[in-house]
Amino acid sequence: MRTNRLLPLAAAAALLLSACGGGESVDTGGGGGGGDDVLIAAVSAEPDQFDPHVTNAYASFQVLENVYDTLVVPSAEDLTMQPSLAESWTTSPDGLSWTFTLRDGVPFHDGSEFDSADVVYSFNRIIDEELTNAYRFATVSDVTAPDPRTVVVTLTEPTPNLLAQIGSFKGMAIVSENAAEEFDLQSEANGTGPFRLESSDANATVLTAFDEHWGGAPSIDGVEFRYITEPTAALTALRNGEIQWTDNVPPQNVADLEGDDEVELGSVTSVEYFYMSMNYAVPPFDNRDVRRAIATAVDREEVTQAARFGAAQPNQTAIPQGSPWYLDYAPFTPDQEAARQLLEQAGVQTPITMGLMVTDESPETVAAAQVIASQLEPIGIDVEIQEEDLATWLDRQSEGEFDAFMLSWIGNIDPADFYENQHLSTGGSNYQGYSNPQVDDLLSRAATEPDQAARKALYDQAAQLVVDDVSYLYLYNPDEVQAWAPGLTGYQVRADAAIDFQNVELP
Amino acid sequence: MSVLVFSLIHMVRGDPVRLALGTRYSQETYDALRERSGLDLPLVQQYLTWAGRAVTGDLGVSFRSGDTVTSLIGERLPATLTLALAALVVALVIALPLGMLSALHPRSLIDRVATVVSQIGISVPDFWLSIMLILLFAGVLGWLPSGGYVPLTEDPLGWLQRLVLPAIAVGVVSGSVITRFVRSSMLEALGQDHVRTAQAKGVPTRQVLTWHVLRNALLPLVTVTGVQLAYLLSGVVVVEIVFSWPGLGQLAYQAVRDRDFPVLQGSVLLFALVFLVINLLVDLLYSRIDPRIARR
Repeated sequence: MRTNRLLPLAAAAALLLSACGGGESVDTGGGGGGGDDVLIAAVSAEPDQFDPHVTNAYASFQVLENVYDTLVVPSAEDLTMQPSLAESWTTSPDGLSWTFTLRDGVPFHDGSEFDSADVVYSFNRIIDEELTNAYRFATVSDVTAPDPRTVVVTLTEPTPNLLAQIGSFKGMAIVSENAAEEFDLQSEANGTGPFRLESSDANATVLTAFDEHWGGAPSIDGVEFRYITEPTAALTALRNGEIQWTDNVPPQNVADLEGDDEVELGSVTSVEYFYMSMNYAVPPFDNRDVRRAIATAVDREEVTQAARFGAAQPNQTAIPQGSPWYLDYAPFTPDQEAARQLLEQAGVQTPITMGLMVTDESPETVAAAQVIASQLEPIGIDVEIQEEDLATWLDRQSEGEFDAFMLSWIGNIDPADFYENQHLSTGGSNYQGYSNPQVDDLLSRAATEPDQAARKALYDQAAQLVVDDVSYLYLYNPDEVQAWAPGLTGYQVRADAAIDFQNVELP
Repeated sequence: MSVLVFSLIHMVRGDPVRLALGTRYSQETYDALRERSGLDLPLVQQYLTWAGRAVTGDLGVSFRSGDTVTSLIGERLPATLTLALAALVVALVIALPLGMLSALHPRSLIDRVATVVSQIGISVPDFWLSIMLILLFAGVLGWLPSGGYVPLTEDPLGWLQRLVLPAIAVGVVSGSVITRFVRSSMLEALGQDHVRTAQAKGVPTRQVLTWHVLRNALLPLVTVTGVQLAYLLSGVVVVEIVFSWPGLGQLAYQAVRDRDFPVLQGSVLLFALVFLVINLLVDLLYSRIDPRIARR
């Protein structure tokens, strides 16, 4: 008889033990801990770490957006750069020197005062240690601080998009001087933003309001980020009142949620763009007519419907409507007969097979690929969809082991971000192998052109060539959709998908 | 075994540095990060360094978060233990009565119901079951939270409320597996000669069942329960993800996706250890249940 009882007893004892053993966790406010006015936000992934100069994870930047500041910041309306830690700036006539005047009376979370030494330290840390965003300083030769309120950035060539380079996102955050020595930046933060990083563990990341923030104290006491990967769980939690905000809203749920009184929905066309690209080293995709045939056969409206349930804007170029850099250019009209003729003209014997590499990291590319496969089949192209995890996908991409691939680019603001790296012959992400001297010339002239209108004209010409040559086959700009509890105010969905809770007020 | 773990993991395609940097970076940045992560060293040297430290309990540092692997595992261990044991309780609560009843009344209505129920339990995808539980108990009825985890020490009620649904989602599958073992091993024990003898001697049925049947049926049951527990302790990825349960399964899954080798090696090593220890415990239990094994 004793042996009978052994198992359940042991199990119960161990259960109790294990339950008591979780001493390390900090307050995650399970039943409403922390301050009274804490916004509980559900994000879909756990931040990997909090060093703004090192991480590359969107989940980390969702948090860091509220903790750190940059010299300039994209406006919520059209993402043009606005003053933030820098109040104003001037450019020398030759465009090789930028002088920033810094805001006065800005405290860091640890009480120390912000000045030019912090900027010099932050920028030099990224440059000297070759951290993740070092490439953004490619034209920067020197960063100096003639006085505590002034920073001078010296360049090797005119860089009209310098503001976008140093302000687009919190990867370029200003940390306090010697922060990397004084703090464990991977898990701690000392910023100037509206919230302090209080704690973070496998359950949640907790921020508390920084009342001395230069832009005024936030109206809420804090933010708790919970990681809810499964959208059904996130939306259920929102309806239940367990959370008050989430960006985990899959496109297929948008239509349902629009008529739902328990949920408020915000949506804006984002700067993200989805595209497909073909390998110039693999015949027949080296043939411009073949690529144009495929671009002609693809019906972007259908792709958008299937992949995004309509929550996107089909676009034949990269930059979304609404951006000052938008170009209205749509040369392709879906036409299978015309596509067939182009293939014939190219002298291609159909059927041909095209491997289309997609990744489960971005499920909508899998759906989009299926639609594209069905659209290309009638013109004699058999699409073989190859689904990989992101690690393998990136590996194959960089080694050129593909006929074609699909993915998206996120977070781009300046046109140089949209075109240079992807379409310059020497571009670091030009995995397709596109090389057009005309495009190279236009892009390098645009990169140093100080006049905005002239610069846009150059990018517009380059973009048209990129589209015509089908270096990228652009598909759509997805909507950034977020949901929150009815009555929550002071929040705005942004095209760059930055999450800013500074002015939020709870219902 | 650590050699096997190490080489298997490194054979998988995918570059952790490229993953950490995303799609846009300079070659200098790439090289610098590779050096900082120690990935520029020859594989053999990487292994020796790792193994040398692992012996002293230092499992290295995560590529992605910079945290030590032991702290990452330590942080998630309580949640995994809690869920595994709670799920085991659910499983046994389902399996023992259901399996025994159907063994005692073979081919009866209850036996058929039990068979169908356990078949459904085995075939139902845990992903689907988890979502249905959330939609019903958190959504429609609003009785329980939709997920998350709080330590017992902080909020006992919240701990229990959050534990119920994932424990059921995991326990149902394990319970269904165990039910079948309970039934078949009971049936086998019931058919043995000494049971018939005991019944013929006029030993009360209750005593026959507990002393002569159950004790003999326990051996295979303990084995399968041990296997189930080891499986539960190595993390139940899908259920953990759906219920935002910060367990080892999620950690290992994310480490695979990130090619975060130190975390992956640490987790796999831990899982291997768990299986070893549980097998040992099962073997020790054998001799308690059946003294003949101890004497051999």
